[in-house]
Amino acid sequence: MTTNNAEELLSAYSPEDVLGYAKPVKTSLIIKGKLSRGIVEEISRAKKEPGWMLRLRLRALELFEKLPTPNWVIGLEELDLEELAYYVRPDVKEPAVTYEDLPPEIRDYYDKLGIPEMEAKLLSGITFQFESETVYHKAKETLEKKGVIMLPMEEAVIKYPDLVKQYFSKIYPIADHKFAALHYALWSGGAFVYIPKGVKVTEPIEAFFLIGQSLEGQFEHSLIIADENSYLHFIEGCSAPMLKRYSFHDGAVELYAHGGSAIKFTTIQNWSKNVVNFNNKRGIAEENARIDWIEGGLGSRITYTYPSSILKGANSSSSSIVIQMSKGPYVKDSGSKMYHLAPNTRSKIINKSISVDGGVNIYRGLVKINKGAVKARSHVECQSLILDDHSYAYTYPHNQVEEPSAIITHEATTGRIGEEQLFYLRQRSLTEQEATSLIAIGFIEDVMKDMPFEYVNILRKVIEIEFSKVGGLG
Amino acid sequence: MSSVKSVGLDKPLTNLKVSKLRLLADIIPVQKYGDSPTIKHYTNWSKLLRIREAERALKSTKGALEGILRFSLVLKPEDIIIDSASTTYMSPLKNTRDFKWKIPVENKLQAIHAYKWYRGASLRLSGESDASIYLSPGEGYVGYHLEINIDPNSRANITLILDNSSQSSLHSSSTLINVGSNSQVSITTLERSRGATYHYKYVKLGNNSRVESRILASGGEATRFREDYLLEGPKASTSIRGSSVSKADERLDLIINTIHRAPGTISELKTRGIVSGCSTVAHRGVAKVYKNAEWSSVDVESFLYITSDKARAYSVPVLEVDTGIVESAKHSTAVMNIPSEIEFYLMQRGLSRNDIIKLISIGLLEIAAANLELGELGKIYL
Repeated sequence: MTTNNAEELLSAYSPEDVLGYAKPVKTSLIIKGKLSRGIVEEISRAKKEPGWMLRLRLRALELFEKLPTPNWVIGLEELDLEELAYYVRPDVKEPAVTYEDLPPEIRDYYDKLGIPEMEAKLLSGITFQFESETVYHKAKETLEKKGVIMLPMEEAVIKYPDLVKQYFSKIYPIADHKFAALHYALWSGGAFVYIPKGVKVTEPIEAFFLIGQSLEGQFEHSLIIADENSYLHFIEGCSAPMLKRYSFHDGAVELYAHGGSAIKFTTIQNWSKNVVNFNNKRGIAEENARIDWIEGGLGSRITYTYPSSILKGANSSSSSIVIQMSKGPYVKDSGSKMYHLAPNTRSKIINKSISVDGGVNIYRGLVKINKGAVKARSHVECQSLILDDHSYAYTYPHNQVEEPSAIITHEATTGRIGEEQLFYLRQRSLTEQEATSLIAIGFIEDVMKDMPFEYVNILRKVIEIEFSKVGGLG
Repeated sequence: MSSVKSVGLDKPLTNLKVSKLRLLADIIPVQKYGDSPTIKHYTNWSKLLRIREAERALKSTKGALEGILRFSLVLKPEDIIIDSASTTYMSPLKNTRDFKWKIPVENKLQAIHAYKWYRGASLRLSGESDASIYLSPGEGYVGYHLEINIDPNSRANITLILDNSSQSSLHSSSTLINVGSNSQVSITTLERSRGATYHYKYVKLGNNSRVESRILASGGEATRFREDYLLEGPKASTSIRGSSVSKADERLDLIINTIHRAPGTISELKTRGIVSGCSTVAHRGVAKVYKNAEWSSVDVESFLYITSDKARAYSVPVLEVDTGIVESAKHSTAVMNIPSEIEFYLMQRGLSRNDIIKLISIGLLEIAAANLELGELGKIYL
């Protein structure tokens, strides 16, 4: 494949094409400086938090200072926390309930991303975060009628302290690693969703996160609780315009699926090329519950994301389907983790990556089957496509079995586009570029068919349209 | 990338003085962590180091040559026997300066080995030749260092038997094998340990050379068994069959790395292991294709059979590919109990579960030692 064609492939999802350069947006509060107890207290004060949350933040700060930088982290040389604004409040007093209430420059981002149309067609609720705060939040009446609680995270802390306390930081522990501790010290924004027993939310809920300027930190925290026999599909979207320097995203997602419930969590990560992205995601599944992670990693300078499921209850299950694309001197370090703690638990991991133009894709996964997880089953598949001779694909799977009746199977392949595939398509009068594009789309398509959801179809169409510019496939 | 460093091929330290190596051994970590946010290590380093500390005061004593001869293994006059008491049919070397190769030091045990080893041999094989090497240490720390150079256009059979089964001490061995261009080499390595064993083998393949390697690693309180196959010459190829048998509370970390650094190189690695009792076994390895190793082919396959409630089995097949111009790069692994259809078939023929485990163990030994007449010696591996 030629470099030009490869560039065409990866420019398809470039957010720069959509959002353009960052525009100035009026802010009402910026907190920055050397990270300290004072900074954390200032953030907590600004958010008018209860004391227990401030104590949690300060404990996290202590841990951040004590914990070493993980050895597996690479490419963060430029990251200087003292340069960053830890908290940026856009000049919006309360989350808007209509688009018209939003400042025009923020609304412009919204429109370009097609979010109003998406909300009208597909979603039962949406929360839109700009910088550190929620600027737009809306839930359809049907949610309220069903007893679903959907709030910006900080509002939930105040309105439902007992419910939040029960789960917050219990699924993704503060001490998990240094950047998890940093997240808890500085968190702001995110969504809280509680689905009552037996309630099925048929239309998805979406949270959209946007970083608007260079040298900002975004630390949103989303907590989703599905009570017994309930169902929810939650979508997380991330984007940023072109930034002159880097920005830092260190978000977290916690899912709790009670007995018999199911949560599907979809992430479309489309940060611009100057965003360093940590995304800490973990879920716990009780008996007969299910957690599905779906992730499309398109943008960012470097991404660290490892969706994890703890299969705590018997017969619980989880899947993780991840597509990562890395173009240019950028790194996608991703992987899924499945912890089987109970009998008859099931997990499946599918990871597909495309590397081009010096891009690096890393799969770093873990399947652990504990003693007592009788007849647990797990299957892992990693497929990497490298489109030129100077890109990279690395696979680091860890398969750990402590239960003799359990089975883990794993397979991985790394390769190029086969000559015979190209030959076959060329014989059918496609040019080499057209054939290459078609094969690359097919490679992605294979995973996308497991995403039975309109939002992802739209994403696929975007990629196809972009291909049509070079290959005439549209 | 951090994991590239962990292969440990690029940091020669043999030019360091002994005093510096000794200092290094104190400060260097037991291994570099870097390939995972979750996993620290699979080797039982604490046990290895505890044994080492306990042995610091001990002097080496009489070796276990008699231990080997007790079995019915037939020794040939040209065979090499190295034990802690005597050395025969070899050129003893006094220090690392006598070796042409540099020793990569990537962890504490390797550093200890680099300055503390004291039994060594350097061989040169040409034409059609066989070499059988038996390493049998006695009580206390013994470090062996072997260097084998195989001339171009040669055919050689090398047998390396590491018998650490008579003493629960710490033993280390480094074996460096340089395969000349157009040579074909068959290597059989059998290792049985009772105590703590640090084994490192480094095989470098020249142009168009071929190495067929068969390995059986068995047991030990703490065994780190690592082999690196560096395919440095164009069209070099290797086929590796690695097996492990572990029982009781043994702990084994079997690592086989294949590193492709030249175009058209081929590696095929198949490992099998049976994990019983309270033992813990890891089968690991890095298959690495460097940028200039275009049109190379890597195939890794691993099966670990976990047969008991208290056993633990870990599989970590790492694949690193630095170029899109690769013929094929793939791996597949499975960690599971003995497949039910096999168990059913054998039980129908009157075998108990223990018989089946033993039968599989014997099968693994036979695969590894297909070229040898082990006789009674085979028993120590099962």
